[in-house]
Amino acid sequence: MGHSNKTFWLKEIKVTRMKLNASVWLSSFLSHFFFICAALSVFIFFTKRFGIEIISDVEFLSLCFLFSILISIFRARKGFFSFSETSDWLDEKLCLYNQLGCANKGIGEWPAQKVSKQPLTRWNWQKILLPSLSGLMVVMLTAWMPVHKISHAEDFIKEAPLNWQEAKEWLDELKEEEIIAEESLEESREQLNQLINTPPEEWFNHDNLEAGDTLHSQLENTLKEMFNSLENAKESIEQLTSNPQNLSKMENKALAQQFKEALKNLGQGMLPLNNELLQKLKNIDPKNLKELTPEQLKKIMKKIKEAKGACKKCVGEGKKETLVIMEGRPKGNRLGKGAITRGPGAAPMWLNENASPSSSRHREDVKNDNLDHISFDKNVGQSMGEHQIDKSSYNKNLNSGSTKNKGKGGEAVWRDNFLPAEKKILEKYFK
Amino acid sequence: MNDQLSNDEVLKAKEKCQKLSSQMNEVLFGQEELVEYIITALLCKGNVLLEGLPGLGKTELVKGLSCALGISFKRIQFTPDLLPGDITGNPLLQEENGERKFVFQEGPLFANLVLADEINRASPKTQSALLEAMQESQVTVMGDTRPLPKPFFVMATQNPIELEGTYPLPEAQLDRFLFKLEVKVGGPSVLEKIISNRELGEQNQFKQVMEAEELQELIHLSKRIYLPEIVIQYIARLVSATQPNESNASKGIKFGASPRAAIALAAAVRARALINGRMNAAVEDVRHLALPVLRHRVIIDYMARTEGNTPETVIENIIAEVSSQNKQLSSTLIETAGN
Repeated sequence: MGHSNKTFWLKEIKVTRMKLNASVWLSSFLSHFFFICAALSVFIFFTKRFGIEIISDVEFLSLCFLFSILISIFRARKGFFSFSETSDWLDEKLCLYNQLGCANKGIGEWPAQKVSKQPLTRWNWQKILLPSLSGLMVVMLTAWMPVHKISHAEDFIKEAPLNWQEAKEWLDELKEEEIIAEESLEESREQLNQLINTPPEEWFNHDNLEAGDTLHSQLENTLKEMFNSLENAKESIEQLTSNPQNLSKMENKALAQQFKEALKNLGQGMLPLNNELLQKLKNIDPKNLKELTPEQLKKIMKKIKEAKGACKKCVGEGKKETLVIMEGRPKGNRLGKGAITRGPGAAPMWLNENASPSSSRHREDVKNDNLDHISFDKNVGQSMGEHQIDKSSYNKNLNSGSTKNKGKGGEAVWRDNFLPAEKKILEKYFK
Repeated sequence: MNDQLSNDEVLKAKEKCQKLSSQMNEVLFGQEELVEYIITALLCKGNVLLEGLPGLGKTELVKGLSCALGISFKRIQFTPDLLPGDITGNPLLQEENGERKFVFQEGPLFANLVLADEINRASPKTQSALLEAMQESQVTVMGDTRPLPKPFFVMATQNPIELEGTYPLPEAQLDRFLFKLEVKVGGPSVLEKIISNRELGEQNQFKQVMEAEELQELIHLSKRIYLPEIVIQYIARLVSATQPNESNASKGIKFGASPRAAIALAAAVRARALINGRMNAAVEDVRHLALPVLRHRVIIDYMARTEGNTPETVIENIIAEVSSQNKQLSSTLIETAGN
């Protein structure tokens, strides 16, 4: 009997303890549950607003829930009922005169089994449901609420500014052709790489764009100058070799001087000519070109032509800024090339994917779906037609007081052009 | 743990206490609670201050108790002209074989049970003479200390009316009393019993149900009652809560209960547990005994008195305010009536 009493009460204490401690934990959990939900809502809002996706919503919610459970257990641990505290609580509720507590310590016997007619405690649903439901509602509302996602310029920046790309292409081209000194080419490439290696969101900063444009224009000018110098050198050699007997002494001297100047220019500057080629050109004595064999001369001219070709390939005869019109809609969110002070610049325009043949007379629209970055001031095309102007309507400037139309005789032009009073005066005068 | 009471010991003690209680209640009608308190005080060697109107059976109760216990009983009627020597005893000059010498003549204090009737009518000097006897169970006369017989109890009475020419007991002396009990008038049914069973001028006949040695044994058993930790903590919290501004209910208190009060309450709680045949004291005992133990140890201020508060109401509020449990239920759980 005593043993069964003990078993009964030990079980009763254990069950009661679980309920009491659950209520203590729940109280602690609910006290900050609403604030956790509010913080979670703010977090969800910002992730939706800025499009941050760390982990999935379900995982994040589970983690938050687990975290808040752990925090609440940590906070509530001091309020948890121990076994003896629970037995004391039961003693008082069941009017057992502390017999449970004493029996648990080995003093006296376990009291007879006693079951309460109604539960000793009941859950306070108002206290439980109010904060939990309101917290969950806030989270669900935030999760459900459509939030406009903020787009960053970095999202659109996929390509470096066009000038940089162009400069890079030039440097690659020049390296492939091997007409420029390696070290100076690397130096320019290093400068360009410094710009390219900056974070993409800084590519279109004023400083970087200006630096890139400067490098681009320096390279462009240098290549143009090189092209001119090579052209001069080529002309000098050609003239000196084609008909030297027709040239006067002065002309010979001027051509030799022109050749020397060209060589000088080719050997200095930002991109000096390849040492090997430069040395070959330097070895040529304009006065003694006859000493060169036709093969040697042909080789030299070929080298010059190749170098000129490379320069022309890069900068041509002065490339102008042109509006990029693509065929079909571009992929991604790429914006157009921008000026220094205008951010990413105008968005690209494109033609219909099924473009009409160029020979047709069909007029085709140029499209651009990013109206925020559309360019209205670009010259898309040029018509070669003439305006239909009535040239006969204007002869020369008219002075005040002069007649607009002299008439062809017999025309009573004046009758239409004078006031009645003026007509009378004129009639009087001509009589 | 080795000093733990056995179940037999407890049951025997309970039986003896019940016998004593029954004997008292057979003669004194409608005073069951008072009798229980008195027996509790006896088991923890406590002195009792009885307060009540004349004719309610205070003296009869004490006399009956002495008869039932078979212990010596003396009654002292306190008056303003009573001197300390009148209660402790005086040395008298006696001639014996032609020689004169002082022989100590024991006073009425030399008894197991002393009834100090209307104690507040005696002068403070005489009252303080009683103090040593109550606290130390001894008296000192002309430098000689003489022990009082064991067990020694003082049952003092005082009349709450006719306060003119009285000397209210000082707090120090009040603190020596374990209980202050109010003797109340019984209802009509009690009076009916009294009328039908009692004659004017007739002395009640109490049967002796216990020997003095048995009482001593019960006193020893009472000390061995187990006091659970929660009961100790509850007593401590309760007594601390009587200190001024220590609890919401103690706002009107000028002086709170002393540590002696806590010791007295613990002893009383043990005694009650033994009377009820339990091996351990319980928080229910504390709640039951807190009022008689604390009511004369708490002094309330003038403001509280003008607001209609009494020490009793203040202590009742403190008992209601202070929880016996170390931990409270959280707000998500509601306690039901249970049972």
